[in-house]
Amino acid sequence: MAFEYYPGNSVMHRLDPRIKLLWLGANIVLGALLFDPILLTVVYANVVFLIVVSRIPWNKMSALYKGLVPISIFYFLTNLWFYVGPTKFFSLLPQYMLNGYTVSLEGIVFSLGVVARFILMVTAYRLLTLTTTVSDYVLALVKLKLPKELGVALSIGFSYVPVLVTQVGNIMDAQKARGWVFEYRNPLRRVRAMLPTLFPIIMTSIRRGYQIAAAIESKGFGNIANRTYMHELKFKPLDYYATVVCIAAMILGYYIQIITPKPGIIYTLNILYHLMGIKPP
Amino acid sequence: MSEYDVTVENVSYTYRGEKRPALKNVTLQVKPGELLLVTGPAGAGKTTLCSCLNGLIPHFYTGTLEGKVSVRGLDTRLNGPAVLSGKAGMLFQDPSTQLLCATVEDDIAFGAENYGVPPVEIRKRVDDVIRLLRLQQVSGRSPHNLSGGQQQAVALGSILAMRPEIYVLDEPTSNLDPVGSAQVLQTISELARIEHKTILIVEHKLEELVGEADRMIVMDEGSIKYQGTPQEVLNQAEAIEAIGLKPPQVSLLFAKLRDQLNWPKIPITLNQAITALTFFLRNNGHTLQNPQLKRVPTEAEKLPPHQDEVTIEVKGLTFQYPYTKSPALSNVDLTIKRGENIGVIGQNGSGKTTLVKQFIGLLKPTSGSVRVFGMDTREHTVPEMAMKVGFVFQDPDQQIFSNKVSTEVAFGPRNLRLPEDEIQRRVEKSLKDVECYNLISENPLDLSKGEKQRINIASVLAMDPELLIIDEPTTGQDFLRGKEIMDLAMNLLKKGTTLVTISHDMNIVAEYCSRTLVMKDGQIFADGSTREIFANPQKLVQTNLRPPQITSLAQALGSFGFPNDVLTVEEMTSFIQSTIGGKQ
Repeated sequence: MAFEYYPGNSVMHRLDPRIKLLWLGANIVLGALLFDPILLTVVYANVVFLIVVSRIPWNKMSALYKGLVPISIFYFLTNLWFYVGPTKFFSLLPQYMLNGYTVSLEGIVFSLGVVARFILMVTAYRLLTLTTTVSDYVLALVKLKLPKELGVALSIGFSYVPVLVTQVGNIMDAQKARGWVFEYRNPLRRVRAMLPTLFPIIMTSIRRGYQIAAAIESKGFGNIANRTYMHELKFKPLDYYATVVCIAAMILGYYIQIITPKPGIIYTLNILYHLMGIKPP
Repeated sequence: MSEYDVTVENVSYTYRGEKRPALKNVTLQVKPGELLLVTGPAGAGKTTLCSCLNGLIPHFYTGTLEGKVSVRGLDTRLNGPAVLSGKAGMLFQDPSTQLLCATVEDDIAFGAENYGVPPVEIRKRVDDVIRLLRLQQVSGRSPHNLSGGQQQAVALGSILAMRPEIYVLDEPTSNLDPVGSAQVLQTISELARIEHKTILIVEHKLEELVGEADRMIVMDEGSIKYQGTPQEVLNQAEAIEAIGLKPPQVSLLFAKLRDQLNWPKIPITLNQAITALTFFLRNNGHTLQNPQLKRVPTEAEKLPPHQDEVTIEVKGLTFQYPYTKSPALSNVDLTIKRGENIGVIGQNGSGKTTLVKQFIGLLKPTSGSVRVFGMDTREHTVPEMAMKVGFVFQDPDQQIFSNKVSTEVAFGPRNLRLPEDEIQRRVEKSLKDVECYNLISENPLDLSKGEKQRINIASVLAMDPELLIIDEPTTGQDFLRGKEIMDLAMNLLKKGTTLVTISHDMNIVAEYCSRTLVMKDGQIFADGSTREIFANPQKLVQTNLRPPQITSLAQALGSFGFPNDVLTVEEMTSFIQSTIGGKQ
């Protein structure tokens, strides 16, 4: 799930992995600079546009969002009282406790902004992983001057995750077939029930580790200083355009952050004041 | 530079922490362009020999190495695997530990990348290898999601792309079905013939390779027991069988009939045997008369007939793994009675394991029903089913976790909540059944793979199953051990246990199973007595399976009156003896 790749040939898929990392960085920077829900929605719309262009099926995203609902609600509620604006609605507590947990229009907008930037960053990260193969990350890391050994180790580590999952499944099946019960309600008993699988999992993993190491050695891994790569990273025109767009977006975000009065939610507020007929304070 | 690609001079090697040497005074030369077949029972030192050739010994596996190994003139003590692997490319047994990258292409490129080959050249080599191994359809996929045969092809491909002069192949087909292994072996022999590469191949499947090899050596207990051309070595077919190997059935037949046939050269391939026997029978005017037919019962046929009570009843079973597009089993109907002895055969991915896992509820039907001893598997948990159903998995290391054999074997009965004295009784009895009672207080970790496998079986037997499922008794093992496991199972059958065995080894199925199910694309393609199934090679071919070699021999000699359902060498021997005897 964490590194699930969805094959395709879209702009996002073709982008140089380094530029993709820059793109993710731009989204994180924008998310950090901007507080206003409307502005964040504009950035988010951009990400969604790229998701559509990448032909990522919606269920790949919706599964993620379902998991985000409780966290988002938590964020929303904890930030609600954090910023108290002039348009107060009600207070839940006496003033001396937690600011009185006063809910204001400005507080609601502020909290929405917090949730929006969180969702923006997670979505951008998800799109990056869905459109990037593990070997691309590794190439990017190596190009960014990380040691080659680390790059190869990372690549092998990731490609082994599914194999290890299958192996653990087999080991659990073998113990179940000998009458062992895994399904307990009590989490403590559940952990204890895992014990008879732990030893075989560790032993087979160590053995497998040895075999993998022998296989790597046997493919000439010791010559790493002169290693070449079949896929070479070369900037294409697309990558240059994307770099310019990402940097421009970050500068624009910075500019907006400077010109917008604190706490930076004035655009959404102005619309709401207008709609609700409230005179801006 | 010596005239040999590989020279091994008086080499002995002991792994660190071991007492007994894995290799003892081995001396061997391999000429350029030679295809050398190395065979021997488990623990004979074959893999150790391979590891000596690319420098894993002594650089990766430390231990005590005596003697000298040189590969294309390079001393392996002075050059590590990084240098030597470019000369001697090594393919290991288990493909899944050699596939290192996210896609097939990347994996094939991995070795060449390490040797600093320019990217354009790597691309070309990868494309060539993909074409050679017919991997075009899967080149962008993760190698771990491929079939066993394709995985092995990818692993071989990554060696091919390194372009070594010598190939060291350690049981490249041990996890493959007959077609998968035939494909891999064919590629290898093409490599030898067309590219004139030097090949050292470790293999148990002698029938498929002896015709191709220039020379073969037989190892046992760390040293070379026999060496010569396959012809010379197989002249001692019976001796080779006795150390636990599976010589070609036709060679065995001729060796057994040495005195009667008085044939100068023992045939090593099916075609040679057909030619030889046709010539012999025609010249002497022998034919097999029907009244003379005296069947030799197989091990399975010596057992008492099964009972009428139904053990397994499968109705309209369809099963689909989550996140897959098509079902792994579709519309399977099957009835198995108490005391029946079933062999399940079919290609990798045909649904064999998926089917038998339903019998103990490890997998539950997507639709349809599976009832075992009257219990619907959807209504019972696996531990409940395990009270009556035993399942022997392939790899003993995947379940052994105790530090004492007795605790390990007691694990199952303890889960059944039996009284302590009953548990003790069962532990002792099942260990005696597998002839491992002397190991009762050992640590299973210290045991050999074969002993672990027996402990594994004992721990299932201790649960006293009424239905025993064995998933592949022979993979990664020599034939003798597979036979031992099956002999044990025959004893259980006498007591009324029902047995279901999955195997790629047609000889095992022919000898030890009375009824055979042929799986194909998630369905039961054929179901009948083992004799009926193997009597119909045309049908078997559609599932890419072949009857045992001896069955094919009898079928080719049909015009001399041989029946088309001969299952064992013993039976064929007796038929030929009666043919000759009948005339005299």
